[in-house]
Amino acid sequence: MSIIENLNKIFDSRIRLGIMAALSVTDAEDFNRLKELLGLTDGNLASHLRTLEEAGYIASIKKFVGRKPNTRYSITGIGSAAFKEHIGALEKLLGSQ
Amino acid sequence: MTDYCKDLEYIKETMEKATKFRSVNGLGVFGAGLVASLGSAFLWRLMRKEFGFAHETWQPLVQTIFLTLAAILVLAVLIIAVSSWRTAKANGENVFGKTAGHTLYNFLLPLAVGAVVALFFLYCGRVRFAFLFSLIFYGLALVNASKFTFNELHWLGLCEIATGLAGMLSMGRRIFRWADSYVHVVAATLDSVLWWATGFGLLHIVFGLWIYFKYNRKTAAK
Repeated sequence: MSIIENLNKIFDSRIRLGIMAALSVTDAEDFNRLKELLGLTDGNLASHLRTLEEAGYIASIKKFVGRKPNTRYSITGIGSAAFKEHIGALEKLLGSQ
Repeated sequence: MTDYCKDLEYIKETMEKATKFRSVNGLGVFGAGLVASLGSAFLWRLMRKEFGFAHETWQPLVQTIFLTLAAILVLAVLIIAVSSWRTAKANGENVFGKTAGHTLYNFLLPLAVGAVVALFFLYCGRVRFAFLFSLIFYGLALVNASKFTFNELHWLGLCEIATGLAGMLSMGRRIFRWADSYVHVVAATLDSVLWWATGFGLLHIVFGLWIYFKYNRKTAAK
């Protein structure tokens, strides 16, 4: 069952998959855009973002737009590689059915 | 196991949604429609005045028509570009990002082909074909680019294509009834200006307002 070992534990949650999917095709997205895109609440999204950031899969940059703080997230090299590997594992798993 | 399948499906859907360019400004589209309406009204009046004198190929007027169309195009593109750039800034969307680049490429390719075709007909003095073909190619460009942006642009594109084809059909009906006579050509050319005004003027005004009230007003209020 070596194929299943390639499945990343961090990507067990579909929300985290969604975040990674969105960030893998864009340069960077801010918090509100991700919230709107994935249809999540503030707290829910924040906790998943934190998990991904702690794993080093995404990076955040805090900036101010006018007087409002604005946090933008982007995928890291490690995150991109891990995500690709996870998709590959999923595809293999489905292919072996 | 079907869960994994759903995961992949979800990833694909999210990627598609995330790559949509959201900063098309409805008011900009509306403005472009206004410019096109005024421009085509000017053209129609000018061409009707020359009705009696016009050569079959409209050669004497071609330069004025070309310059007017070029002016409309430059103004309309400027209005849409500046307004969309401002909306993109407000949305925090990168105008020079991958998404905007994809959108532009898919939009400009059919449009450039259409521009060459239209210029060719204009150069030959077959003004009516230039008007109708520009509508059709512009519609195709919109449909092509709409995968990466608002769905409304897909509908706008279909409407542009339909307008262009309807113009062709009405021209065909004239040929059927009066053959390709001089009077027919003059009348058909004037008709084609009206079709062009419908496609580039009226449709942009309607869709511009629609997009504005659906997407931009919310952002503007924030």
